[in-house]
Amino acid sequence: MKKIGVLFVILTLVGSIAVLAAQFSIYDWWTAGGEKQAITAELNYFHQLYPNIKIAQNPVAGGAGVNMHAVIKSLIFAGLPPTTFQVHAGWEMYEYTSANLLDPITNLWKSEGWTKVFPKRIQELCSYRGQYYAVPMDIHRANMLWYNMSIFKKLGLKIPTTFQGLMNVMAKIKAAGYTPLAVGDRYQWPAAMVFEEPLLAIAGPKTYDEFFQGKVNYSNSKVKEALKDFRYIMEHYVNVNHASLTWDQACGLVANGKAAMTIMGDWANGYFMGLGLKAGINYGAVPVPGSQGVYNLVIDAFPVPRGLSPTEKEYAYDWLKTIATVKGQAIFNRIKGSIPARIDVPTTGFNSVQVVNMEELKKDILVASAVHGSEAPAPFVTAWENALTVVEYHPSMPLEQAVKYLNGVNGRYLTPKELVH
Amino acid sequence: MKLSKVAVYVVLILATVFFLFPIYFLVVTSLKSLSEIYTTSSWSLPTHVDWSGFLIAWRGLKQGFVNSFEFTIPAVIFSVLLGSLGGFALTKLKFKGANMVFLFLLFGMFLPYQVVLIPLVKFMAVLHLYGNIWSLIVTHTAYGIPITTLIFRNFYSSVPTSLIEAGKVDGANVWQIYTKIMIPVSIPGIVVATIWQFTNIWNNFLFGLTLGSIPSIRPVTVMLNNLKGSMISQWNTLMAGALLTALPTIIVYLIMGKYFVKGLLGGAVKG
Amino acid sequence: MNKKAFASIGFVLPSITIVGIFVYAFIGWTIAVSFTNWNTLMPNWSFAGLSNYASLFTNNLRFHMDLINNFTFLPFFVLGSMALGFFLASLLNTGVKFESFFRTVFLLPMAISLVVSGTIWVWLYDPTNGAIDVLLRAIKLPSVNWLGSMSFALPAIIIATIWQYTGFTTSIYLAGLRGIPQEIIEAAKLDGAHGFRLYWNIIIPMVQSSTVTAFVLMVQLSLQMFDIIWVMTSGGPAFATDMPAVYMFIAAFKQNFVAQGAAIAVVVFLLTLAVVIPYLFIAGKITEEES
Repeated sequence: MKKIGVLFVILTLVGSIAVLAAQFSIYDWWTAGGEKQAITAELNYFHQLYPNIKIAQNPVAGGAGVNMHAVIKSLIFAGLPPTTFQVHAGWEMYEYTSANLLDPITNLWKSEGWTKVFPKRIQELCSYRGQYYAVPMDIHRANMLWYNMSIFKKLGLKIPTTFQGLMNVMAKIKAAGYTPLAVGDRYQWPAAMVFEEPLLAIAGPKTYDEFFQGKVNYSNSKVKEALKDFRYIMEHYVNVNHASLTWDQACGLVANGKAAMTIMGDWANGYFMGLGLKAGINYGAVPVPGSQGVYNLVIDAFPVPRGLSPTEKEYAYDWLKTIATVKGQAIFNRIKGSIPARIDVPTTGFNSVQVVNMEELKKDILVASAVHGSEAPAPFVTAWENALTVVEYHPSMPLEQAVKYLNGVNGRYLTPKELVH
Repeated sequence: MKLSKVAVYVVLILATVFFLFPIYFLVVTSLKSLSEIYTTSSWSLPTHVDWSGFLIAWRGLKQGFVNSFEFTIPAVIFSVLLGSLGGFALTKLKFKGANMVFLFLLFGMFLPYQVVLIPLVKFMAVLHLYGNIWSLIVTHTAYGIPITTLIFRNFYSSVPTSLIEAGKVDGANVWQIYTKIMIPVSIPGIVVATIWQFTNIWNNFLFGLTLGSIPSIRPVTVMLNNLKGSMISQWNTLMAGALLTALPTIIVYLIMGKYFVKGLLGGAVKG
Repeated sequence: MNKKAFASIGFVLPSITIVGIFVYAFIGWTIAVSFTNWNTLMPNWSFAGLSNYASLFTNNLRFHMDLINNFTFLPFFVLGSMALGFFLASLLNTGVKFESFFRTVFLLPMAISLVVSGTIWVWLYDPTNGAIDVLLRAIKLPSVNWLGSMSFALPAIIIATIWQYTGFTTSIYLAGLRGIPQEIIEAAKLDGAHGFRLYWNIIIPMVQSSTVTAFVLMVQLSLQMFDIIWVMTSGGPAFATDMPAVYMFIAAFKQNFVAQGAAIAVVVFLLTLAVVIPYLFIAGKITEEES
């Protein structure tokens, strides 16, 4: 017994001697398919520029980043911050900055001249109380409608310009025997997009921002209309198996002609291309009708945590400089299917949907997505998404009662004093 | 054959179908190409066998296999050993407060693991074990002790006390009684504890996720989860990876399975 | 201290130390956190009294549903896997051929990680193309939107978990049945006990210790049910399958309500002990009477 106890202690001590040398440790949730190829290509480019830096890539998939943030938070509490990690610019990042866990990088932004090449709204989402904290790697667009062109041709339908028009089109598609809108909300967020994007389309960007700032609630007539449409769509116009599917399987219904449309961010583009389909021939992509001229941003960015050693901090800065270059932005986004956050990246090598979005980013009104953590704080977003599913699954609940319930949830989790901008 | 006998077989075959049909989907899907998965019924056979899922899965998982073996085997050995030592002391050295000690150890089983993640990482950081394979070995050993102690306590209760008495007459001390008399009769108990521990540690996800911070110690289950992207799910790769990941456990069942019931039998005579 | 006591302490001391740290110290930490205001990302150790507990029991709709769900899930899963296990073990114990084949097949689901089996069951339950739907239509039953329905989602998860773990309870009961001396059964038959009465009066009491083991393991599993729910429904639709373990993870790591998550954990831990302790007490008394 004694011998074994001693052995155990010795083995434990031997194990603990190995100390980690300085390295560039990066956490992200890009683990499969095109997104994995994109981050690998970017890291290869980083390695070319800085061959002496030892890279430890730590992909953590699952739960739209929840798993990864759980790991990051455990690491930070334990005093072991990673060199850098993937974060959605905006509120997801503010969580870390308001807890004083990130290092400001305003000097880097100024000395590298980034203030001139990234759009103003994106700069705001990367900063907090007057200081810059992160560098954007890519831009996704949340308010996109994807549709099966052959179904539209066969039924002689056109994409309308208003959301009310889209509701009418959905009624016609349903009458023709197709599922109007494919949704895959096994993980709740895709259903929340069926409220968020129509809200933007119906109420416009100003009311949209005010809603997520807690200045207006569901009692506002436009918000109420979006809520009414959301419940109507989820009850009448979506595939019956929506709760069993993930968002990509929902896109599959559009691809194989079972459903006519889906509301999804532009990462769906990579999915359709992966199936060998052609934009403009097999499938079409437009901003959700009613939200033309508005760009609903989802921004992946990288910050610098506090508590790094000087060497690690230097590594982190080298990484940020790499991803902010025209070449760094082009390498990553061409593969990923998103678009560069810089507005001066040439469009060569990007596909048609990307090229259109790159042009629109320059002139559209920019707002940020709440579903994807940029527009509102996480405690609110979680409660808000869950509350929406409650009114979705109780379709007989009268609209006024649903409004009252949802206003209560918003009121509890969204107090205007929390706002920073 | 009597009618009742036929009925028994019919029910057993129905049960076999119930237990196997989900696995059929696992196998079929792992052999399809990605576009076929999205365009055909989930239960049709593949039109042509596509091994690309297995190839991609293997490339993504092979380091994880090495890592998982590196911490699963020691953790199984340590937790089984500690459970056996504890079970022996609790049943054969009936000291005062043995039942209290047993309950103290047993309650560890009912801990909701999600909640220990923060103190666990902090503890490992203090010991300078974070990012080290030993963090996983120690953690899995620790959370295995309650169940292995329970298994061995049940098992040793059935070992006749006369065996011990005989040893005492021969002048053996407690340690000799344990190594010379108890260990040799423990094989069935060891099998049960090993199967349970191997399955649980190998399939564990949560500890691997938080402690497996660098690729050289990250478990296969976490790498399996990473096969599924945040945005894109390649179901064929995922299912092929799942089959590969389950192989070691299945092999353990096939090899040790026949001793399994025997082992449980040993412990089941008296609780 | 006599030599024997010293030796026995030596044998259990490593276990006591390790469990003391990993279970009791960590639980202690959790209890301490549950009384603080750490409901932000940054640790905040200021004393909050019972407010984290009070808010769980007063206006937290989600937590109320979690408790209802967990304590609906628990008896169905525990009794279901034990009853099915006992039934299959009884059949296997009638001297069938290919017994080891059947046993291995029944155990196979346990080899597959919950993350994967959850995914497979989602496909099986799909109301448009899933195997179960096809089966229901074949026998002229209406199709059920399993995971998309408030009332069927939880039963669907219960079936999937019973599938996963019944092989293990079967093995435990098979061992228990093998342990009953044949003479006792013969004697009971001579006394006129047959069929149901034979099982109720003789066999079930004789496999009491198998029942204890199976019960404790299955209760433990049901309170830690996380992976399969996270994969199959992530608590939806509208909290119909949400469990404290899922909420705890979301509260602590997504919403940064660390103290709130800790309070949930403490409540769940206490409730578990409330289920398990009386049972161990009763079971312990029975086994003592037997011996």
